[in-house]
Amino acid sequence: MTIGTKAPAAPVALSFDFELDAPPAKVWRALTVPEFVAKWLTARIDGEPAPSDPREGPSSRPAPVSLRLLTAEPGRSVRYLWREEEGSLPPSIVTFRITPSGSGGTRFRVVHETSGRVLTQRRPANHNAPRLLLAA
Amino acid sequence: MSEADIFKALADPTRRAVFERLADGEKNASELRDGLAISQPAMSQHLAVLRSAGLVAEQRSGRHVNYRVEPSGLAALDRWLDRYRSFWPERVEALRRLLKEMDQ
Repeated sequence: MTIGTKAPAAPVALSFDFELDAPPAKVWRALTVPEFVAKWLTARIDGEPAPSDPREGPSSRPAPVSLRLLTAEPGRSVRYLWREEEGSLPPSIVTFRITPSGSGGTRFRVVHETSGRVLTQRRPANHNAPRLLLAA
Repeated sequence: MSEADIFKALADPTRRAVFERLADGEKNASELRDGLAISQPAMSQHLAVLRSAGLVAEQRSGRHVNYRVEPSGLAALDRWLDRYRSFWPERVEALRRLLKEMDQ
């Protein structure tokens, strides 16, 4: 599915798939240990301060993000409430899912949802609700 | 109209379905209800929410009211999508660098 002016759909989620060289256990730590998450995502989890990464210049730095852990299935998937500290973007939900790939690496999927439900509910949106998924 | 209003409006599956139907072209309320198990008052309410979020516009012609997608509402959605479409691949490059530095 693509977005265009001719047949625009209602986009509710973006989905990305990546292949990583590292094994799943290592990737899992990078996705869940606050110190590591701060490094690659410039995000802080549950109010911990985000240390800056001196290798990245100010121009390339994305707006700081704060995350709140919603659910986790250890070694497989983790779901965060995603809040931008600057700007007017509403909270959204990010899900990381990892599976072993044949070559000892990791298949890494990111799903970023713009569900308005997170504004009013503490729990993540109902998984069974039909929703559109846009492959990026 | 804000992104928050837009996402809130589209969080409801029925409203999403209505919005998708309008994305295919302008329709009146009864055309919109075709095949959906939804009463006319409920449809009116959903359309009101979509309109106040800036996603849908209405146009009266005689006794009929036609609904269509509001381009500026779509543009707000596109801004959100554009931002994160480039954001995630960039962050994952940073993740790859981190994974190389981490101990096993």
